[in-house]
Amino acid sequence: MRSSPGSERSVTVCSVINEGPAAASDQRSVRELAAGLQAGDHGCLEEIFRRWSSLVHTIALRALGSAHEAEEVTQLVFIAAWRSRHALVATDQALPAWLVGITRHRIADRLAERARDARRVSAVAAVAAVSDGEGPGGEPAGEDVEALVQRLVVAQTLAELPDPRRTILRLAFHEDLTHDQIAQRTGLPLGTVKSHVRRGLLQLRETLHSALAELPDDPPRAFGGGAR
Amino acid sequence: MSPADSPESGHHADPQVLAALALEDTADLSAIELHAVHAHLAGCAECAAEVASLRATLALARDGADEALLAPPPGVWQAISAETGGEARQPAEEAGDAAAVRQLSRDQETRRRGVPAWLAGLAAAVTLIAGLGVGYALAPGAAEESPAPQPEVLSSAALASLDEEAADRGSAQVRRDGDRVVLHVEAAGLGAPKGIREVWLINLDGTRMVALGLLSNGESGDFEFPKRLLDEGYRIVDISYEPDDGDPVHSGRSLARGTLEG
Repeated sequence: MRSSPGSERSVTVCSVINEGPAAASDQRSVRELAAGLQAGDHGCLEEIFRRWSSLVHTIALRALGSAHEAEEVTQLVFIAAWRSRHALVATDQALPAWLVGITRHRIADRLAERARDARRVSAVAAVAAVSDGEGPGGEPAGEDVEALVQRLVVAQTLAELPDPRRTILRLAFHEDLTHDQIAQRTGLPLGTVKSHVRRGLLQLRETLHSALAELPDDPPRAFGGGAR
Repeated sequence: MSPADSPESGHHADPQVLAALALEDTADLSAIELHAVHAHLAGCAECAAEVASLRATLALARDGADEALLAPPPGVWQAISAETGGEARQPAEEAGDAAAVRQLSRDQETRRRGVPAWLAGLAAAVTLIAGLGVGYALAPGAAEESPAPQPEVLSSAALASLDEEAADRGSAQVRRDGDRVVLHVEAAGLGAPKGIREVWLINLDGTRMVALGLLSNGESGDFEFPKRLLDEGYRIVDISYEPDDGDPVHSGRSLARGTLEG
């Protein structure tokens, strides 16, 4: 958790890219970002925030149903990521999965806190002798976190894919075009379209897998259960 | 990485073929290839699970078509940057997460205090009243300054201490003043423990409560709130003593309480 002393501000890819005018220029690879974060490059934290804060924020917002708490959770997640950056392993998948894991932990904390508060309120209210004696459940105000994380991680991963793969997958999955129609529309050979769709699906599955595997205290359910 | 190794390993089916099966797009596969992979799936639980998992992913991707990711407001990054940038320069990092949160939202602190975390999910409207309530409580005398329309009293409560004595602690009234509905608290003899006194509405179901705001000025104050809360059963007025500990939930120490009738 401690930052290592010394040359924390070494200039790496992220510091450079953030000084450039085009923030949305060529995106650094996930591995580069993870390595930069590990090295204590604050510019990488900023880039990471730019790319994944919407995912973190949206998961928290939908799970907790509170804009204010979602902002707090988002803030805590990236501060925690910075402070525990030395624990991160720089691979192609690890970074987003790791962020999602921290997010889920923070959400779990909040939900537990609510359950505690609810018990406390019932204790307060009991004095008024109007309590019906039922134990209040600290029920989450938001959606099922597990399903939510899965859906949003996939949506985010898809949105992050480089073109033409992203466009091809959107046309195939969201607009339900046939591969022939996609080939016509994009001007790419049919075989190339098919290959992109297949590899893209494998890629989505891979990211999803590692995102779900990232919560050791709470092993994910086999997500094949969510199949139609 | 992938549970399904490359076909060269000879153990599992080609991931791309499994993806093709999951996508139900096998037109470009030969009959022999198809037959082989189906035969393999029949005997390989791992590859069969892989296809199921790819199908699930596909379903999620299709479901996610309408998912819009919502970026956090700009203040969030500023707070993170302040917290982490400072850390990089100086090794002192004792300021915990809580401090960071305070930095983000000093203006929202009263609100956070006001609405217990478990309740925050109820609705923005509930959050809103706490903010309004505080604002209103900070401007006492507003009612007196507008003498013209006489507020209509919708309901009232006698406040009493919670001990056996049930001593008189003043009263509270819900008043309609134009299109505003206000809880007017006129407490008395609350005692003077050092700390903050906070006004709450507890639901008759005994499981829900909202914070209306602080009695910051003496023992009376006005707290605007949505009238529907009354209809939803938030009819128990509670005044609590809150130690200045930053914990937003009810301390459990009630100084006075009464139920709104009428």
